[in-house]
Amino acid sequence: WRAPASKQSERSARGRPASAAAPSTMQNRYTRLGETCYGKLDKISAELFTLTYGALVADLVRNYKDVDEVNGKLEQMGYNIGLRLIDEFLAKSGVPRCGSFRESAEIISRVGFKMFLNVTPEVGNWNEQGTSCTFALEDNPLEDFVELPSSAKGLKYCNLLCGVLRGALESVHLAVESEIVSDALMGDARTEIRLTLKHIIEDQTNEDYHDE
Amino acid sequence: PRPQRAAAAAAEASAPAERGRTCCARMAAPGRVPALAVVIVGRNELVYERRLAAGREEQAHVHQFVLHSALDMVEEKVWATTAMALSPHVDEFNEFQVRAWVAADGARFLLLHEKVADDLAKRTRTEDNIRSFFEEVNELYTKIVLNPFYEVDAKITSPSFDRRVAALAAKWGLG
Repeated sequence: WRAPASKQSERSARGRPASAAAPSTMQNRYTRLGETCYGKLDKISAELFTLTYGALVADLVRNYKDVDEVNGKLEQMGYNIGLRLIDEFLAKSGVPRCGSFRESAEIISRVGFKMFLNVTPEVGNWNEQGTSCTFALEDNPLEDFVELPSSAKGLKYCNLLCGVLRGALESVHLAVESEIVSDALMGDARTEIRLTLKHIIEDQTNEDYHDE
Repeated sequence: PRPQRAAAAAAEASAPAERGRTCCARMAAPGRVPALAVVIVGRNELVYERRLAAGREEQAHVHQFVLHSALDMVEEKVWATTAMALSPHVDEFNEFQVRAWVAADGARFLLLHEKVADDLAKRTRTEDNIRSFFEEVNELYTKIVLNPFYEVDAKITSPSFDRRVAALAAKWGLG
């Protein structure tokens, strides 16, 4: 995370590591931050957003007959959105540098999702190394009123969200993989996205640059 | 006299005896309306139809004729009122009555039923029940239309919609 320097980040870098803080206080802190940021931002009608996204997906399905191609296109669009959304996110929320991927996941859920979609997915199903988790959405604003037709089996309706996560995190030097593991539209209880940290992207110097 | 009416009359004339018998068997219980069929018509196409409990398979074509001919009457009455429910009934043919409801996007819901006894209290209760039925079907229809994958004037094929309409019909004592 390249967050703007602030007293908070200096303190956390200097003193105790973030993981030593009690999880509930960290979570509460981010929940409150998320709510504050949500309150400050301009809002649009949720139905307008849902219907626009629905029209977008329906149009893609009509144009590209292959469902996998549509899934890929949605992910790519999400990626492009994520690359730009991260700047908005950091500017509006001012979150400090994260100490661990666990903290990143909590921030994504309690601040990121809250600010932009007004939902807080439940973070869970952590793997042993703490590099993979799922975001579970009980009620997904993108999927209101949607019923998948039989011709669109295998369509990952929310793939845009996966792309957004990938694009946004890539801009802060975290290479991740995100995929939809369960979807309310396909008969599961709720929508779940699995986020896996692949590696941290090192700064790469241009090959033309030579150390003098 | 519309041509469909003549055709319907001809179709009916071929089976009068049977009709007489089945009419008596379908005596409406108090509060129950012997509803035969419900139909939803979109902008240009029939979008949904369902035979209700009192409707008989072999009379289905008669019901279809009566419902379609009633559409003309709906067209006339729609301009007379801003309400969604067109009351009382929109059209009458022999022992059939057709009731209509116009949804926000212009889709028409039609209900075909047999006339109930001419008792004022019963008639008002029937009208109220049918209006409530139409209101709830309107909710279901709106949700279908909000589905981004639903194309305008496409047939409604969702089995859950079908089941819910049947349940609502039973709930409001129709058929």
